[in-house]
Amino acid sequence: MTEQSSTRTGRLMHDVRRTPTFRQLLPMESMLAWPIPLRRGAADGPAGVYLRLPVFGGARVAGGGVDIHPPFATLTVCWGTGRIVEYTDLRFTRPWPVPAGAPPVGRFPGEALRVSIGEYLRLRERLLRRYDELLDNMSRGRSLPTATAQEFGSLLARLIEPGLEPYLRILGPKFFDRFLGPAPGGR
Amino acid sequence: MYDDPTWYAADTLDPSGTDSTGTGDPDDPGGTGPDNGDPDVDAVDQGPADPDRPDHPAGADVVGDPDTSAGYWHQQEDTTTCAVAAQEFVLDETTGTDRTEADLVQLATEQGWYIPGGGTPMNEVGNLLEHHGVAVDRQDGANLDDLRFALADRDGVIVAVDSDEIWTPDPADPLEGYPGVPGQGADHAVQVTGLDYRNPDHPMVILNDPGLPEGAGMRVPMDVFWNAWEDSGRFMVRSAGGRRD
Repeated sequence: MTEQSSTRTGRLMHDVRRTPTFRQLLPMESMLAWPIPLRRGAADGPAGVYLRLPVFGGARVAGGGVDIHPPFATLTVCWGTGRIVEYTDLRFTRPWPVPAGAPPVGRFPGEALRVSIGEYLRLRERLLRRYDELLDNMSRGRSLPTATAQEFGSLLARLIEPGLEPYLRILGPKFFDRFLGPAPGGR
Repeated sequence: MYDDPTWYAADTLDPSGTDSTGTGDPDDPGGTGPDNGDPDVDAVDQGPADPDRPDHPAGADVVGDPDTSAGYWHQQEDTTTCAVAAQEFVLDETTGTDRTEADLVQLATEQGWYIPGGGTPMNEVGNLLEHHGVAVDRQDGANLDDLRFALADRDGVIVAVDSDEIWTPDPADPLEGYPGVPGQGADHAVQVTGLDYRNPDHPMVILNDPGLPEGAGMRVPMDVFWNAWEDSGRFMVRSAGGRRD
């Protein structure tokens, strides 16, 4: 059913699951949340564009859906090469408290995704294409055209996994503030 | 994606007669397919390859013993214990014991092979078998010959697949009825218990899938299985020593 993504970002997310790092450290049942683009300036080393991939777990629900838990790790990969440059175990670094036996933070799919499986996959592919454009522009030191940025934000808002947004904002505050607006209630 | 019905032949049978993966069946270092004189393969009536269908061993019926293996299946007790359950199926059939998933989960958790609520890293699949004295061989880039030789030898086989693909929901089905997040890739472990060539136009792979209520002896078209398996880089764990008669 699931065709290989035609996008560079989609292929990168697919391929990272096949790396020795992923296979050794992360359960195969893990899921990747929407990536957080990062640009490192040239001031203290080579400039480059990277993708931080939050990794989260969940419990499949009989009858449909997944009960989602907060991200427990991140993998950061170089956009240019796909090479993993960082693995972070969030259970160790603890950017937020995760008490044992904590309940799920949301259920996928949320209200905004009352669509067919095929439509979800089409929307997912569209957002991945916008990621490609965003990252290509970042690599060239450019911004996304306004219309494209608006579509990116709209798709991201619709597709972001329910309950993960507060955690993802901690992992990539500038990115999510830029495309989703400030967090409700501020921080 | 694969309109050619013989799409997998090129990947499974190297025309040079050598094992293209370099990691073929230990009893068949040439990796030349069914016409190689492997006595165990002959024992299950593989016969010589059909020259018109090199992917289909002529005379082959069902490789493996899926009916017996189905007797060791049960549905996984937690949504993240597929690999533990698959190892339990193989362990119970290989050793003739009846271990419980709960005991194996506890052991795997203590050893760091299973993360409660998270699951099992792919490289840790097989550790529960080794712990109980069953040698395993882990292989990337395995192919259908590797499955066939292992099943013919009555060894246990566990593979990692993309559950989206073997559960084959209709794309028109509502997303809220699907028990997962589509598009994530290889996320599930299943036991392969047989290959069914009785209909040469529609060969099937037979699985013990712990993730579904009807997962015992579940039949999946070979091309669908291949695509699902491909997402893991065709990762396979083969238990050594043959099964218990």
